[in-house]
Amino acid sequence: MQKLFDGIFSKKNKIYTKNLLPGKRVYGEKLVKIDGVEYREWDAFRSKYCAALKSGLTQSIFFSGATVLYLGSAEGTTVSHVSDIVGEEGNVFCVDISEIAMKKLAALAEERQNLFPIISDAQLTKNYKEYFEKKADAMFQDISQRNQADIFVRNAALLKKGGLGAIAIKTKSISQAKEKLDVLSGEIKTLEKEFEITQVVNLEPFEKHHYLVLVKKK
Amino acid sequence: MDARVELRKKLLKKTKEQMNEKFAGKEIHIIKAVRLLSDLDSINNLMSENASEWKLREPRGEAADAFTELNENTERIASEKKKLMEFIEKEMDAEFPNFSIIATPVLGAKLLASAGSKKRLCFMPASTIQVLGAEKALFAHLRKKANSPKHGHLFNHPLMQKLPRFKRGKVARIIAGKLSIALKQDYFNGENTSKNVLAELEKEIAKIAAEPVTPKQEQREKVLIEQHTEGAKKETSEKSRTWTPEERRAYFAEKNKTSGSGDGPRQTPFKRNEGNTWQKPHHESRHFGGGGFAPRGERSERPAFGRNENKSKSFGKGRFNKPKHSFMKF
Ligand SMILES: C[S@@+](CC[C@H](N)C(=O)[O-])C[C@H]1O[C@@H](n2cnc3c(N)ncnc32)[C@H](O)[C@@H]1O
Repeated sequence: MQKLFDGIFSKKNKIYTKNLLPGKRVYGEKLVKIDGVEYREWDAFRSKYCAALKSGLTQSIFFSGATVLYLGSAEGTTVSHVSDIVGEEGNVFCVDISEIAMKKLAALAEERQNLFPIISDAQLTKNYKEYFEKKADAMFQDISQRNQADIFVRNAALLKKGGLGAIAIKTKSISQAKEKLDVLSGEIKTLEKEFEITQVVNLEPFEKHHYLVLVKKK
Repeated sequence: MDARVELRKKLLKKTKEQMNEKFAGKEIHIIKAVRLLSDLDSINNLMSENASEWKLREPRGEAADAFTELNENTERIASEKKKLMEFIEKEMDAEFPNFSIIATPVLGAKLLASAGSKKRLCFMPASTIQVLGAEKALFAHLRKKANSPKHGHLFNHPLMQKLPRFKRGKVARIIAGKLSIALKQDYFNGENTSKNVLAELEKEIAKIAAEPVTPKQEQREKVLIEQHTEGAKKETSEKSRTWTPEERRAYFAEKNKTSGSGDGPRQTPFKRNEGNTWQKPHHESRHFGGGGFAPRGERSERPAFGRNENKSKSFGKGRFNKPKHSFMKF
């Protein structure tokens, strides 16, 4: 096992995180045990952050003990790995608008002591900003909406200065017709209101029409 | 540390409550049933259409077998529809004794489906109930591009039939008002007074129907019909003829000026079908929801109103438009 970033490991071209709850699977992923430590395999086809890691992300936004704001947590596929990375001392606030997706996530949050589920529209930060007495260390967003970048910028107030963020941008949700790079540069312009852009990663072949933009709060 | 544990407990509890509110009610099954019903309706129509056309050509041999099967399936769907309708009637009467009488069960269930949940429907102002089911038109209106809609699902209310167009808006408003009161009675387990209310409503509407038509109203009726049929015809035929490059450029220059974003014309709610009649595209509120990812069942449960209002303003544009100029021949 080779350490890639804090809490993220790789072996033979596969990516793993240390299982916070040994013996338990979250979405049918493989579990492997090496030197008495159990790892969960991270599926790049199901998680955009993992796809970005495989596509050459230069910096990881999550670290052990971090407080993370995760927008668009869905059923918790990626969230479970983030939960592994931040560990018991960390906090992951998971915002999603859909009660149905939240059903699975709530069950996950019962088990994993570092997950904080919030059912809310991520555009309405007033619904959850009270929970951030201490600002988040990292912010991640994966929401396929037309105004994705705008939503991210609205949440910027909850991220500490200098904190890292990553946003998965689906160019097809913004415009079907426009050239994807045009769409991307439009979104980046929006992000630049609050962030410095650190890296842009194309997620092909794992996800079509998707980019991950790595940013730093100004 | 303690505060953290406490916050987590609080959020877990709150999440559970929010989910319970969403799933606990029986209404979810009514919503599913009424959606299925309207899907079955369209399937059934298509099948009978096919069957009657095929029958004219006198199918024999294997064709006859296939034809018989088609007929059997059509019948099966019809009987499933009937069962669904009975289910909806039973459930609506139990959950909404007052509302269901005034709205009629199936129409009431459609309103419920558009609202998303019992609670949301019950707390809706009458003006919102009036336009439920006409979300597309409403948001077009909010973007200041169109007239405000006067009725959505309510258009199909039995009391609205046979009324001339210009009277329907007024009547829809009256019915929506009564519905809103009935919903509150149902929500707070109030008395069942709706039979009387319905009788009064019928009288009131009969009075409105009997009001003489002024020449001005007659003119409006004409204009309304024009807008709904001729206008659409004219616009589409204009677009489908062959354009010279100059005309085309001029057209786009004009459009870009008026619509700003250059997102193409929006006011073409009618599409041509084979029989040369004019028909509304059927996509309206069914797939209402952001352009975003959500499991299918999930997306259709998104409320058309309330929480998503903000978002809604932005999505009408791309999602419902036809591909920009597909029907233009250059
Ligand atoms: C593509 S999924 C995220 C998948 C997740 N990141 C993973 O890899 O496991 C997008 C999620 O965003 C949610 N969503 C869409 N619009 C939202 C909004 N306005 N606010 C919060 N969540 C939203 C959807 O319900 C959906 O669950």
